[in-house]
Amino acid sequence: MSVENAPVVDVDEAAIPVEKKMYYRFESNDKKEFRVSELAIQQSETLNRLVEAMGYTSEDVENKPAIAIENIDGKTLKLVFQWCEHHKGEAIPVDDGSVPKIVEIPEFDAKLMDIDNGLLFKLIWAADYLNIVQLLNVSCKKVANMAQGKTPAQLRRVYLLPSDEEDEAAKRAAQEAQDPRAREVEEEFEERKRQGGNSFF
Amino acid sequence: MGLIDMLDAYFLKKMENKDKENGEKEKEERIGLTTLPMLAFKEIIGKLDFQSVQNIRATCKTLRKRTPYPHEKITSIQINIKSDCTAVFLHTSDKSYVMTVPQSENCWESLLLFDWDLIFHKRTTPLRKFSIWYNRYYDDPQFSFVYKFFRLILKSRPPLLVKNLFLSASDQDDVLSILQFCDSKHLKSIKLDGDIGANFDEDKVFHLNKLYDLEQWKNAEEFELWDVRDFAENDLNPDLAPFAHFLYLSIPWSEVQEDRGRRRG
Repeated sequence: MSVENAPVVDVDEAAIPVEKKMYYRFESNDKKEFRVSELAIQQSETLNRLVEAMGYTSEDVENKPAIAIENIDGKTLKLVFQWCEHHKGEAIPVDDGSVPKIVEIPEFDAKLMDIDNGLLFKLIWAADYLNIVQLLNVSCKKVANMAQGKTPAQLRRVYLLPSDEEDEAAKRAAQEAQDPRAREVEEEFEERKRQGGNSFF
Repeated sequence: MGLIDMLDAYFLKKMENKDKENGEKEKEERIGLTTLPMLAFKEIIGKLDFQSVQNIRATCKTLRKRTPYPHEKITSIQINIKSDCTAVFLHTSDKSYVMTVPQSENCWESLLLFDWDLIFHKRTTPLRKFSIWYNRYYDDPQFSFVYKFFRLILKSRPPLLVKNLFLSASDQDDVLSILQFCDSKHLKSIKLDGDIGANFDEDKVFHLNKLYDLEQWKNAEEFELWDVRDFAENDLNPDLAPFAHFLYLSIPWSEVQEDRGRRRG
């Protein structure tokens, strides 16, 4: 099992309460382990609630197994925790719709997200899953910037999207791969929906 | 348990089994623009301009289903009819998009009809402005065809949600083709340019009083009339009572000049 420490950035020690200096251990679905400061964890609502509920002491953190994050691989989780460490202590934006949301991508984030599209989408997925509001904002902004001004054909190339014909063909192939009974039931279900009926009765 | 519930359970179970069978590998491969969580996808769409959202919708069926109509972003529609072409301007809060169609092709109506239902599909906020403006040199005697076309569109659709209405019109029937289909709760301002086509039919009379009984007229706060042609006799010496409710009024007739109030911001 490899251990990857998320980079520790210089911080104002006086600004961080002593009890916040605990480092939690997390494990990705491909068994990569990370140590993350409690302050950095606060950027993730999901993880923050999780560690609060666990109520670990400093000894527990060292002695108990790393907290498993089943849905995220090590490569993605490394980026997530690098981001959280860099932005630890920063206020978490609240989007209540009262003011227009203007998102700017800081230099650190831009470098962090200088990755292939597949990994970028995994990062967005992870930010959504772990509820890291600002990471979700900047990563979505990055994708939006990439999409801005592109024609449908260019978008298909950039995001490997199927055309309508390919979409249909894939759907047909998936249907054909199903067992006949399931297909029959699904077709009847779709037909009922098309006819506007809510019930078979 | 009803059959629908049984079917739901069946499909749910089937999906669960499929996930288990295919494992995490496939799940990872599926992550892309078409499979992002809806919250994230909406974040991305919300950061795009009108045209880019249109382009996203044009890529494939999956994204068309996922992407909300961008037309809620349209704040005003301006139709400019000139002698050689018709330009339909779609304004959003930050940009304007124009669809210019040469008069010879004569197809802008069908294009707009196609977009109309998209623009007003489930729309809840009113347009800031809807206008039909004729170029002065427009020389087609069939100038009212636009209004006849709109009457056909609007009579079978929900009320037009708009705050400010501006129409270049030849008579009250042109105006009625639009005005009577506006949502009276939202309409605040009516502006009319009332002399188009005067060179084709000098005897034509504009019966403004045909508008007075409309809810849209009664509820509007501003009325402005420009460049009037001949009005019906009762309008030349009008009873001003039908205008009494307007907070802003401008009717530049030679016999009666009435300007009062201030426009809303």
